[in-house]
Amino acid sequence: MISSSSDSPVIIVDGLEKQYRKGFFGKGVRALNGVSFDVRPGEIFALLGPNGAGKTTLIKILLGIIRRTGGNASLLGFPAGDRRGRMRVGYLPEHLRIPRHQTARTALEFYGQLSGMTKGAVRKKADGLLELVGLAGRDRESVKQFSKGMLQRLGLAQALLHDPELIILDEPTDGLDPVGRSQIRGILERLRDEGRGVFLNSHLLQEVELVCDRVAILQKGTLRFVGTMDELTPDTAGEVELKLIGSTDAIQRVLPDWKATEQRSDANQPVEVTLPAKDQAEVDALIDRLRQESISVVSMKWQGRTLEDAFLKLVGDSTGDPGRMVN
Amino acid sequence: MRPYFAIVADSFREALHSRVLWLLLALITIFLLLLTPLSYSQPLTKKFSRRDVIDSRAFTKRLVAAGRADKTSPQYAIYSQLSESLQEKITAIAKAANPDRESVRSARKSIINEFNALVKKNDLFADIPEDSLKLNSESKQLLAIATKDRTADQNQRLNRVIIERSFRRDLEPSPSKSVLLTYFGMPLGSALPLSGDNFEDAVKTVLMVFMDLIAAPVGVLVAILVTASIIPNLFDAGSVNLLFSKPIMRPFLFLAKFFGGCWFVLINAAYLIGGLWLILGWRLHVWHPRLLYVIPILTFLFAVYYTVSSLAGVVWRNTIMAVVATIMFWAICFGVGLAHDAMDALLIQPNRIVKITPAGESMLSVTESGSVAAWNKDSNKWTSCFGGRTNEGAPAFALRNRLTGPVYDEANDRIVAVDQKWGRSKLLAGSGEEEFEREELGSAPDGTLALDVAPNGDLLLVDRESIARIEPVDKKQTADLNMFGFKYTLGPKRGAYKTISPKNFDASRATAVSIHPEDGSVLTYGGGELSRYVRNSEGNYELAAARNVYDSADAADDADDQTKAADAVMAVGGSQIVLADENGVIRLISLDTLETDATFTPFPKLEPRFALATDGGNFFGVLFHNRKLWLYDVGESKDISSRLAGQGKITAAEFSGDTSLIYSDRMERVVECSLPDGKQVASREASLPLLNKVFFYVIKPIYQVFPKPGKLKETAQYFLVEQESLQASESDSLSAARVKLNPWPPVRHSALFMFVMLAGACLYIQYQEF
Repeated sequence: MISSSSDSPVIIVDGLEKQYRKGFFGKGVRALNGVSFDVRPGEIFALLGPNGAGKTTLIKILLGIIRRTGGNASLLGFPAGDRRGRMRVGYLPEHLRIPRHQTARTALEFYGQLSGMTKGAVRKKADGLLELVGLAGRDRESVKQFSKGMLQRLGLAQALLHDPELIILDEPTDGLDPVGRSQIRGILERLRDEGRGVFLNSHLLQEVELVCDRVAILQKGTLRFVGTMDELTPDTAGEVELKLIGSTDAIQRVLPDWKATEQRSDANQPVEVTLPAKDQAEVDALIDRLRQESISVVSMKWQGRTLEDAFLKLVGDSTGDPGRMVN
Repeated sequence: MRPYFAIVADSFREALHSRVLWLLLALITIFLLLLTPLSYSQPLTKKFSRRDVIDSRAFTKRLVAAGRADKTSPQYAIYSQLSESLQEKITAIAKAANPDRESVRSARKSIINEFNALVKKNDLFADIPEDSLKLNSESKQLLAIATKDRTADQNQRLNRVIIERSFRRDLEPSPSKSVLLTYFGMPLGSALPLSGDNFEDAVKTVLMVFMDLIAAPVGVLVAILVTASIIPNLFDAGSVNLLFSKPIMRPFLFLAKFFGGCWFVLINAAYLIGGLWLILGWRLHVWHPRLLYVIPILTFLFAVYYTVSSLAGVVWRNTIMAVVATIMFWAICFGVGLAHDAMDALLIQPNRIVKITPAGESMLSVTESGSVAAWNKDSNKWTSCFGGRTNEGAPAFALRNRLTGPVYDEANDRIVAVDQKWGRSKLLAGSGEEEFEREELGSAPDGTLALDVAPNGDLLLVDRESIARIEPVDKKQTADLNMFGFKYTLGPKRGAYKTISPKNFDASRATAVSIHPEDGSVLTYGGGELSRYVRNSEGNYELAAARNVYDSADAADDADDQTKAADAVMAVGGSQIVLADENGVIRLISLDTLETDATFTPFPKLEPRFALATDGGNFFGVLFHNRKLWLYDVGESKDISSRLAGQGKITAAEFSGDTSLIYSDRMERVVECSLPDGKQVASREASLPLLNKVFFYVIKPIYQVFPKPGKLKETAQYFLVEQESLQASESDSLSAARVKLNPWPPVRHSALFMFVMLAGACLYIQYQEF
């Protein structure tokens, strides 16, 4: 367990701005526009956003790979990019490339030493970590024989090697099979339980939904949402989708606004109906009335209450609908 | 520092992963294995070769003369055992006024063959009394062995030594043992007449060529190809982000990668050079520890090019661009270096003043290529005179001044010189009245060593065989020959010289000759032996004193010791002689006793170029090949060199009177300073020609600021040959031009360039966003 001296955030981003210059006199591209949030120890925080939203830019600023043009960012209490902060961070980059002359073991030794570890300390931890990420017994193999998924596993191992307080993972499940994803989820949950902060950048919303405590959604460099999963997908308001079997008259008695759009030849043919609903109690009452009319409820599904729905609603469609801003 | 050592180690691991490296290591191993069977043996030197003959024509003459010698002399014994056909052949050549070269060459070949047959005879000198044989210590030792106990090789060696000592003027003394290279125990060619030291020198020369032509260019190119990808790979997106996220400093990350590449080359260079050093030591017994200096030099050479590759790799993050940029850098360096060196060799060096001759009211200068010019006060220019360039047909960069002189003949207001062209030396004169226009006085003996005006006004000429007085030219003895419309003056031949040397005069080994300006005595130095000849009442010279300056009584007689005795330059004035040998040792020697009064070593192991003395002997000077003039005030008993401005640039110097020194420290400039204070009192400086200005104000500054990795070969040569200069022409005379080896400026320039390139790369990597 990480013994954190305080519950102070491991990442603080305050009004962060980044403008990329284009050419020598070019006006440039604004990649981040006043982004603010924080990440606390012992939580899994996901940064979501469509391609080009500025997610990787934000991570690069935090790690000092690129410089901010405005605002502030800090990592474990140190300014973003400070070596003392980077010392306590484990990072798995997107599209990780480990030089082909390395084996899994030499790669761990190399990256471990870059993090300030001795070779001996790396050796002590290497076997356990390789086993944890599912690479046990593959340590002497050259990485050029590794699949993309195996490279990701090795990348995760090197990120965890020096017991970092904060782990930043950029698309960690990229290239992994379902079993691998499940293993990674398990590792992330374990890290959270140990009190470490996990900052996740992923496209796979279902993965995020399954493990994350809080999310931030970026769109074109602007923060659209930051909060818990419950705040993003509330169980109040929305629409409910029902699949019913019954006579047209019976259905119309319960749902007067519903109109059959086509001639139904068979009363056993299912009918799909979407209705606004305030809460579950209102839905329960409706189902009771349907049952009284001997209408069978084949299936029922709440619309707009998954992460994907919320995400799509926030970032809008490809036409550029900005969606709903949440502060 | 742990992370950075890890990066260096990783770079090395990456290089080890390269197949090219293994190929390279395999090639080095094969090369070293192929060298391993090379060895040598040291048989006694028995056989003669054409290189042993100093002057074929003179040799044939002396061989013919040997036929008329005392029948108990070894010379007669040798001549009498030559075949009749060869005797006839050499007699014909000796008699011919101008024998053709081919017949002389053919005769030499026959002589060598018959001599080699003679040395095998056991009774070659059986009838010759021992006191007639000019034995040296080696032959005495061989003779001391009883005939029955002497091996065939020892017999042959004894014969060889007696033969070469019987014709000392014509045959080079041979080292006791030769070197026979063997491969797997089988001889490679014939034995080389090299002493141990000479063999080591020959090995060093071969090493120098190997380093210059193979190890440096091929090795560095391969190393660049192998390591070019290290830096660009660092910037691969998936790699650089991870590395930069680690708690390390970017510039140090880059530098660690850079030095990782250098480390890899260091290992290879150490393998190649270390292996070579071990094999040369083990197989050829040439333990040359300075060879190991080549390891860091090769690595440094690579590092200079690798900085370019690395900077290009940082900026473009592309291996091909890194290689292309490095090749372009090499091409630019080569171009700038070529432009500089070509102009320097063709324009600058040949025109540097190497001799200054005050001639009455005039001042004459002679350049490195032999051009004579007189100072024109009215136009402030050096005006070509005395035939201008005397090396017609020879390229200017040959840097060979074939003139002996000119000397000023005050009584006749003329300058006199000997132009020693191949095969035809000429005595030249130029009258002051006719603005020193060149006039041929006739032929001069080959091998002229000195020409000067004696105090009585006689013009003296010393060659290897005689001291001669040049008689006034009798115009009646000359004739004009018209050929194809051109008029040739046929000058008087040997008849114009009167030999005034003693019968036993022998300057065949002399490397320095001086004529005393006040008493006219002639001093010869060669093989450690200093001799003084003085004029007797009849006007002829006789030997007054002889001494070996190395204080070894037998040295002059011993062939091996002769090879050890150093060449020297010499000047005489007043009651002392200044003799500076090739080891940089200057001796002030008493004129009367020929004993050394004092020794100085201002520049250890540096070769002197000229020696000079005032007539009265109150100042002596020695100009070294580093262009520094050692100046000694006899009155003060003090080295006053530091009082002179321009040290390190002086190419010529001459005393004028007893209190004035004239020297050239710049192109087209001669300054005069008073002694002993060294204060400049006059300067003669002409404006530079346009091309020279282009060189000094455009090409040279560019060259100066540009890196010169190619010049690092001079650093390697400096360490290999342990000399600061190399011969620039075919002449091995000390006064011949040398290419100065500057070992440190290339290192400084390259180090500065590396620093700038690495600093640029570090700044770029620090501030660039990836």
